[in-house]
Amino acid sequence: MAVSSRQMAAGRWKFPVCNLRKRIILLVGLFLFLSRLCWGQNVSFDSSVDKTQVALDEQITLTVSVSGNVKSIPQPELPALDEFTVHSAGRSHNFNYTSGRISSSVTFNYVLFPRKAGKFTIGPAKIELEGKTYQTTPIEITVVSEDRTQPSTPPSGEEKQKVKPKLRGKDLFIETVVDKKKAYVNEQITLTFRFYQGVRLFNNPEYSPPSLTGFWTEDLPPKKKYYKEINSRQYYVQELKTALFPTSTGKLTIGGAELKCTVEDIDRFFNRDPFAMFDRDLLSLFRQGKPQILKSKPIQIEVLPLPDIAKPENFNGTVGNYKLKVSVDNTEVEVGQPITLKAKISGVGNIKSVGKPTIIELSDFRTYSSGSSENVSKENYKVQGVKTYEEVLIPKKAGKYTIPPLEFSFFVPKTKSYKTLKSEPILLTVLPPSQASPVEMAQLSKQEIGRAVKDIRYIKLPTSELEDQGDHLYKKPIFLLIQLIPLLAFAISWRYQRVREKLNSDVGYARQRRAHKSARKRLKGAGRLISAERSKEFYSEVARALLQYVGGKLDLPPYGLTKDQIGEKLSERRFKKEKIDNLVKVLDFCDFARFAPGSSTEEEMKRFLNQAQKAIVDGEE
Amino acid sequence: MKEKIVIFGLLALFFFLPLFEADANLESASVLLKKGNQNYEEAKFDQSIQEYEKILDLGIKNSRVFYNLGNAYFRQNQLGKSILNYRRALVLQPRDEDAKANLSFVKLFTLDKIEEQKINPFSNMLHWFLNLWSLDEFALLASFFYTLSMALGILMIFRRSKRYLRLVFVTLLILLVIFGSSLFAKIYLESLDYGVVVVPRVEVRSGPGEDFILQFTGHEGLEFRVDEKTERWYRISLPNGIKGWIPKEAVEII
Repeated sequence: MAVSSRQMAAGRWKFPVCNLRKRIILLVGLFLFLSRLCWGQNVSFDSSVDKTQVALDEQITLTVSVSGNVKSIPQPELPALDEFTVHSAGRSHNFNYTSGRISSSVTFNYVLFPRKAGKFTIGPAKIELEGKTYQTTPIEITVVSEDRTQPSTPPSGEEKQKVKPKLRGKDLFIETVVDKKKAYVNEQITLTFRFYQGVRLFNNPEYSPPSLTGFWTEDLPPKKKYYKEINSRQYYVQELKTALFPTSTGKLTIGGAELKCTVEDIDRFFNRDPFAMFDRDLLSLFRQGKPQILKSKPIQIEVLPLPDIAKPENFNGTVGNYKLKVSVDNTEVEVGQPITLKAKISGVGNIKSVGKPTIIELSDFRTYSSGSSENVSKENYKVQGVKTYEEVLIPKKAGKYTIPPLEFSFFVPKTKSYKTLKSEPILLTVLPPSQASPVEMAQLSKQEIGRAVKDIRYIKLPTSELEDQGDHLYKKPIFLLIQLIPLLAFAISWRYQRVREKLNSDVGYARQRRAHKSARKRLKGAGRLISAERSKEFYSEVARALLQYVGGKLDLPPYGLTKDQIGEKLSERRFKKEKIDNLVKVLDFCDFARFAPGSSTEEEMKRFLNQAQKAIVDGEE
Repeated sequence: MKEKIVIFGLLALFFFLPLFEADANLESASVLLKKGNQNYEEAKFDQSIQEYEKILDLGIKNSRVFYNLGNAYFRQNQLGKSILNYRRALVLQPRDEDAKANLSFVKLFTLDKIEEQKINPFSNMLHWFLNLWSLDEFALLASFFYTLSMALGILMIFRRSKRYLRLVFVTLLILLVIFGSSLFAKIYLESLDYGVVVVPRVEVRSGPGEDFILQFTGHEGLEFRVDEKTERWYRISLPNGIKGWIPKEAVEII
């Protein structure tokens, strides 16, 4: 139970994790447990500095360490340090094996930058552990205004022969440099940051760039890395360049850059180890970082305003040195087809802030700005590039047009004067449209089409006779009556055809239907025989006609019909009694006249024919 | 036999007499039309309106007269009456391009913009077809196909079982059905009343009376269908489906 809680505490100390280290922790935990049993709580709390005398531009590392068997160690309370700028440089867990005893300790590191020269006392730091308050002893620090702490004697040959030669000069330092301290607004200033490194670093340095208010910044890659010898000491130099474009006039300050790094402190450990029983690799397990913060000095820049003298009207704040090239993609188009006008500005300067060249509006064109694109390059650590403005022109009318020259003005810092560039005019030919462009059509609304018609059409002058179209034809009786005609015609033909069909198929019916007709025909023929000498012939003809008529009606052979038979059959067919009698009477008279001697007069014969005709007409009805 | 001829002759006279009678009216009408046109040419539009209206008073309806009257009213800035007369001209002569053009032009000046309800393509086509010919033309066409099919029918009675004849006969019958039903559709459509607002402003209410709630304000030239008529009010519906009651004196029926 106790062991595990120790382990937990060890975990909380964030000891670097690896298998070997884990095992060691376990071991240490066990030892600590044992030591607690043996000696109980044994807390030591003290502070130390790496040096008591420093220069103003140097730093002091304040180490506050707490050791003992305490479960958790809080952050110690630092004394008021008004004379220093304090940075916390982290905390580390440490343990010592001294005289057969192992003690664990937590070290808090602080980096102090002196603010002024003089003698100061770092007051006691306080910590509260399990109800008890511990204090450290105060430390006296002397801050000198000059770099007196550094031995200035160059390293001698003797020293080089030592096993561990002591190197001269600062181990690490940074600097920021500008290429000029006076510049015009929007003129490039190159800020160079250099990191000089004379020792191995424990980890990657943390760079915080200087504050650059009032500048438009542009990083200038690549990072330069090289070796340089200063005071016969070899340094590894990393150089970082930034282009600055002042955006306002007056005095601007480039703040100091800061670099935080941790230096390896193996040598110290080595020196403390009396037995030198560990080799370096194993020692690297226990290596300690010594944090360091490097600062550079702020730089004052004077930004000059652009001169007002001879400032072109269309100047829009562009500084640098540029070239202007204007082109179109097509010089011959139809009405409604777009032309792309490109204005290409290339040169050295803050290309992103390059303004648009003035383009004169053309009344016969619709113009649309289709934006700009830029291509920035940073050759030789100078910001430069190409900016392209694109404009789409859509001609409204056919004809020849000239795009007037485009103007572009800028200030050249080198010559301290303004410069205006003019492009060549461009000739355009606009052809009449081969067909209405869809763009044009889409832009005409309902109202506009209406407006295209300017007036109503003129009245109609009489070309033909005026007619009344008022009464509808379908309401006129005459029209409706006329409509009956085809129907009637159809009905009649239908009926007629039906009758004809019956005549063709029914002989008896046909005879019946034809009886009257043929009888009349015969009677007519008999009429021609009316004369004294042919009276006998006449009577026999009439008799034949009547007999044929009766035979037809009765569908019987006409000859050999007795008068009784005739009377009987006809009455069967619902012939009227009168008519039958009439017929029989006529037939009787025919027989009498045929066989009687002498001849009858023409008068008599005519009267008789009439009688016969009446008889068959009557018979018909 | 003689009696029949007499009866037929009398009947014919009875039918044709109105035609001869109208002839006298037509002569005076064409004189009026000429006068009206002359006035129009001289830009005396109010007088030309009077002449044209006199023709209508004679009971004569003619698409040309309506068209010219529409023009004259438009010149007098009477949009409602102008639209009314173009519509009347188009009823008699549905294919009159001039009347169509002028109507759509005049309608641009009306204040009420109504979005017409979307009509399905079939009924669109039907309307297109029905507007191809006037009612009389449909009557004549139907009559023509009817006579033709009857004639062919008679031919078929006497020369029966000719295949191609039967084919033609069936085609004619189909045409007869199409034009016959179109004729009746057209008669129905023309029996519907349409109207135009002829006063500058009119208030359309929710019921037949001044006390009903005002639904919307119509302006001169607004067209609508009349659904119902009372003594003083018409119930109308607009092409977008809105209905309301409108005072009779503010409108004219096409």
